[in-house]
Amino acid sequence: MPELTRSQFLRLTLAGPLGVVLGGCSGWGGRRGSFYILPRDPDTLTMYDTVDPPTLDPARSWGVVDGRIIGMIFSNLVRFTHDAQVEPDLAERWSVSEDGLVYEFQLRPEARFSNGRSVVAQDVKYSFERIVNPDNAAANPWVLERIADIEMDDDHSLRLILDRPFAPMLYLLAMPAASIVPREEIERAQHEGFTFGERPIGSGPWRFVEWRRFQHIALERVEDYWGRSPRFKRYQYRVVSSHFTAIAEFETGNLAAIDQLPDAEVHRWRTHPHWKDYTRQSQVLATDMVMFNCQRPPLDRAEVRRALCQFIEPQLLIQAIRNGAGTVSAGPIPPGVSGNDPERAPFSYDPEGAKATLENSGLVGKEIVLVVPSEQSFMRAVAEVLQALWRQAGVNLRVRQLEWVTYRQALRDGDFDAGYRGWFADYPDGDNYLFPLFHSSQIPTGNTAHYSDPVLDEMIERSQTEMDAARRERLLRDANKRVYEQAPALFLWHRLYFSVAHPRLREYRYPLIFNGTRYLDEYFDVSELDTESNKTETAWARI
Amino acid sequence: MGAYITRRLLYMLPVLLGVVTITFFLGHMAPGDPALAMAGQRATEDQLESIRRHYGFDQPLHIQYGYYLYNLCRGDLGLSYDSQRPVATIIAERFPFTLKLAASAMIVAIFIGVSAGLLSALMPNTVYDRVAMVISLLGISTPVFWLGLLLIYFFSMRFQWLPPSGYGDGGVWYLVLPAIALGTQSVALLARMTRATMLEVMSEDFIRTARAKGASPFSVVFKHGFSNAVIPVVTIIGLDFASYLSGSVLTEKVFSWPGLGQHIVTAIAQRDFPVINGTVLLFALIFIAINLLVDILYGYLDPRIRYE
Repeated sequence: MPELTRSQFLRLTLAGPLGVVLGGCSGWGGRRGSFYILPRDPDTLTMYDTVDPPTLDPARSWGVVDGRIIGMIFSNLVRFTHDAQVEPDLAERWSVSEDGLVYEFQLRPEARFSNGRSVVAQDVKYSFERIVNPDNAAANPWVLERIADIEMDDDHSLRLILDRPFAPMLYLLAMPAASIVPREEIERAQHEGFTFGERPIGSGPWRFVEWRRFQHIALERVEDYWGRSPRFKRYQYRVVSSHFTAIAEFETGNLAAIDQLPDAEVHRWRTHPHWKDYTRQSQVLATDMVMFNCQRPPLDRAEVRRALCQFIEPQLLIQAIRNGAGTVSAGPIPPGVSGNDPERAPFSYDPEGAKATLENSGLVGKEIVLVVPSEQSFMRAVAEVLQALWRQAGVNLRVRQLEWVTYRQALRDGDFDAGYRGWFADYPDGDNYLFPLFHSSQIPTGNTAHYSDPVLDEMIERSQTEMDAARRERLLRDANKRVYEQAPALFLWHRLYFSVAHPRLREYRYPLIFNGTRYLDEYFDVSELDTESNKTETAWARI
Repeated sequence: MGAYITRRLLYMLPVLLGVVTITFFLGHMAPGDPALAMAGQRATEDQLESIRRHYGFDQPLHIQYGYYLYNLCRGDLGLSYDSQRPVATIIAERFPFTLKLAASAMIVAIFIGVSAGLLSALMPNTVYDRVAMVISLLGISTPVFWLGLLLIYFFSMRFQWLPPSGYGDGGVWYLVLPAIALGTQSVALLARMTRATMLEVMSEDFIRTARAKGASPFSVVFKHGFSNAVIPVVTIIGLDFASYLSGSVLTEKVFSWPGLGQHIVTAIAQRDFPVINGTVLLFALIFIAINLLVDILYGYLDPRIRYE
């Protein structure tokens, strides 16, 4: 046995790591308010999501995260409010011709890009042409493809001429793809060898400051903004790869809110003695469904599809799988959107009746394949429940879990019998749940049910061109009912999000549509902070 | 030695060519159209076709491979399909984060693992030895994501000592938890390996001779004992370090560490072939370089080893 003492070795073993830990601790620490920790900087709104957006260029964006940040940096002719209504943005007023073909806009003369230049009608024309030009390989050219011509009278007035009437056109103009970009900045980016999406410049209330890839995107408010300025001075979007880590960040005062609590966390926050008061439920425009491949017998018959729907008790499913984070769905269109009929109930739960219907359908004893994307665990849970329920009727469901691109490929190719589908609204109109998902012209791009129904096609087309709101509402409801009755999909639920906000964050609301907020009203209330914390000279802990 | 290193460097070339070729063809054989990953959900066939033309996916695979090799020889790894940025820039941005985490984790692992193994070997079959070995067994059996969450829970949420995740301003406190979580995987292995080899070496005749000559305990343990026991430990350190440098996906995910591991997972999901190919090429280079370094190190640690 050597003569090195135990204490010598213990010192050797422990001194280094402890030194690192204690050294680290000296530079970082939060400050407790009461049950919560005070935010580290009252002037910065820090939000998060799990992904680093690929781009902030409106032409290339198609994701929710990039779409939201683009909405903060850029302006459109019109924009969405929190409640997904359209309000003026760059256009201070507009008119629509009776035939729905001409949209005339008056631009605000005071509107400027954050490089100081005025926004003029020519910018609108350039931005829109950039999206529809096939050479630019834009992600969503369909948004503006109905515009046949753009006429300009002067710098601040323009007319959009459509090739055919399209009632929800104003909604499309509020989408990220319709953001107005400054031509000179795009050309400068090309000239200097970077992409515009890396250092975007727009005319919105926030100015791009910095993007540290896979870490954060920093924006600051435009101090001389031509419209209403945000109350926060800075906005930081943080990439936090895991929702559970994000909760730790929130609890340590590093995030202002969690927009979407993970399903497994919902119960804890909603029943927590303190946090329950700060946990909110918000509707989002998203519908979950299981699409049937309507071209594969016997799923090409509506009564077979309807029978499969009758094995489900939607409310039970929502409770068991989503912890209540959903509302019962009786058709694709969610509540609050034109075409939704709140009176209609989903198919009745009737497994016995359904079994009788299926008996001679050719489905009994047969194996059908359900494709599910692997990213979301609750989708696999739905698949397992369906497997058990449909087995009662002798239908064998084989679940194929595929990663995202392979899953999309399988849906497009029709290489499935049933496929899980979550659909988030691009714009808050019933048309967005009918045309891309169920119109026969959209096979196989959006209509992955491969559902072809000339009657429905005509109903959808009529609703698109009908400019009278009341008549259009009836048409959308009829089309929605037709989809429900023909059951090209098993509609599971419309999603709800449970969010939690910092107790001192005021005016925070989760928007109905993804780009429906620019975080103008939110602020941290510090008015009674000294009394409450009563501990420190300055209550705000900083790194 | 110079000739040996030159020969080893020359052997690298066919290995790297093999890695590039296999990665390229395997990537393109995977199901799923990369154009779909780039287009919105409502992309039409025309739009997909225009994306395929734009990126050259419509060319036969061997032509695409030829272009790729040609550009590679000119030092051009291509542009990321996803972000349109040069792959070399992306790797240059991300690799320092990976290197920092890997180096810190290895420091933690070497410091704790080797010390604990030494102590166990010097006090075999004592309570300390048994406790250390049980703890090392626990360390090797603990999934890194679970350990990571535990560390976050205690050190960030309960004690408020360290930040839960991210890189922050680059301060050392952001590094502590991920380095411990990642390094713990190697701690256990290093402790066990150090203990076993030290036990073997400490029972050798030359150790007895050194003691009989009156060498100090420190000299017996470190100069005569540890220097002879270190070669297998260095091998493990080399292999673990190389695997850490190849990205530690789970640690990076739990701690939102902006390293290469997460990036390549995202690239695979997006079918971002230039990023996949460039990163795998870098990983291959790292493995080859570290193996070479370890082999060279053997010669310094054990003078009996000669390179011809």
